[in-house]
Amino acid sequence: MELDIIIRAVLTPTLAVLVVMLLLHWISNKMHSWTLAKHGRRHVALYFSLNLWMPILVVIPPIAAHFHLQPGLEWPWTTAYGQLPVSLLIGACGAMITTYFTKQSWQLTGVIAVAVCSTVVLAPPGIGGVPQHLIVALVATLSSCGIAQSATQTRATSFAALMVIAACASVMCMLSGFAKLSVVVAALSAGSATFAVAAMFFPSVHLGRAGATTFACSLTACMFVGAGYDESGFPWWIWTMLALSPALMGVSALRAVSSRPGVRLFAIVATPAAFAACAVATVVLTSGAVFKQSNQSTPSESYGTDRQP
Amino acid sequence: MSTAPISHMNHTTLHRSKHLITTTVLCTLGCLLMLGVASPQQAPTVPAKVATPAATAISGPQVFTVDDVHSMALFRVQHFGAGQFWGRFNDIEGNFTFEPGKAEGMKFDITIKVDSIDTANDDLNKHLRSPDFFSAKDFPSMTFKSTSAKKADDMVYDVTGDLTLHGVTKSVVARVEYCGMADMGRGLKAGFEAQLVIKRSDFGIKYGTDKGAIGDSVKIIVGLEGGVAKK
Repeated sequence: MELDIIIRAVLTPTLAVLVVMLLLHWISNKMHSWTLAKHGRRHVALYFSLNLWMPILVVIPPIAAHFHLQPGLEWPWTTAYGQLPVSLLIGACGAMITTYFTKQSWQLTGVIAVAVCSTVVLAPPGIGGVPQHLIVALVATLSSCGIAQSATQTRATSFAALMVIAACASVMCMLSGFAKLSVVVAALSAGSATFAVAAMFFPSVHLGRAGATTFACSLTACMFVGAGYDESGFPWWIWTMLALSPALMGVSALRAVSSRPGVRLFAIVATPAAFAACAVATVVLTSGAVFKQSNQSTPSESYGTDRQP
Repeated sequence: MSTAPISHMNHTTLHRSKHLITTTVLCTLGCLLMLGVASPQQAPTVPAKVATPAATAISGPQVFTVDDVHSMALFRVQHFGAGQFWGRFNDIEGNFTFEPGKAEGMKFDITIKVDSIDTANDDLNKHLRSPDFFSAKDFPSMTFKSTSAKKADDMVYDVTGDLTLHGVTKSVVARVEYCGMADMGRGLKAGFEAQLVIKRSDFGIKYGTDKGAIGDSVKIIVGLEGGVAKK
């Protein structure tokens, strides 16, 4: 993969998102003080809050990367990869709606509904049946709850954990032979890295429940597509492990893990990251995806990133 | 008394032996020379002369089923703006209809299984099968169905047909060379070699084309051998 593609497809949209985020942060602050002074109302400012727009900001880098690599919206859909940006957008829009839910039961219902709606449009070859969709929706819901548990307590830490998880998922896609999906997931990771940096400087930057739902659905959708197009024969549970690893963020964020906040912050990043890295390591060691020699009798030169376009 | 006849007999026998050896050597050399001249390696340009259209007389167009063992599809594309990279598809099936010397009634219905792509490198094969390129799971086969044919030369035909690749169907023209036809005891066989050049971006396979890392223009060469079942 050329560095040029990484810059154009991953870094450029991520920087654009950073600019939009800072703009929203500024507008939100201005609108908040303006509406309070003029009308004594706060709800106008809410329309410009980062909490509301975070789901869209989360999916912009992967969608931009997708359209950079494959220009134009595919219609009628012939591949699950073509369906992916629509799935991500449904997840983001659905998650934005859930920000209006105040009751916990409604929030959970919203998360399940978003998970189902965003994954049901996907039909990866060979695994597009109803049972698989139910499992994928369940995984997305669990991951979403896990991220949300962590995201309500931390800001930069949650983003950092998601960045590492998505990076592992991107490596997995590359190993499976699907370079374009790898770039899309890398964009998801790069977006999280940008948010992590921004969250360290701006207190209003946080993932929130809606952002958590969007990220979980996006990652799960990408892993679902990756599993469908897997040409390396990686086991399905490896893909599930990667999609499910954000759920461990929620487990690590529980007070039962440690009473010391510092330890919990470390656990929020380290536990899911180690779990995701284990998934990739298992694939590498069991399938020999990196170290094996070609089975062909003729040239056995490796086909690595230096040979890929 | 006894030495003279023996000496005479020995001299005669020796003379005959020499004559026999000389004749044998000359004959052997002559045969080798003739074999050398008639060797196919010395005359590769006219393989079809083995069985020209006139040599094998058939009545009307015959339908030939593609022999997947002796048929193959090759493709060639430029890589990194430098070398020409070759790959092949091993599984090819279908049938063609042909009557020697006639373009009328000439038909090709060929299917190639994308999954059979072979570049002699497992990892590259996986990448080519992925949605980055052929998306073999979504589009497991590519097909060519001819719609018309016209004679371009004595043994060459321009065959127009619909090429379906990566879910996209486009009309293309393939230059098809008739290689020969013969019945060597295992039914009537006929062979063709087809060549065509396509733009892969026309078929939605655009990976690596934007900066020219992988060429957009792909040359396809298909070697076909088909047989009619022996009655």
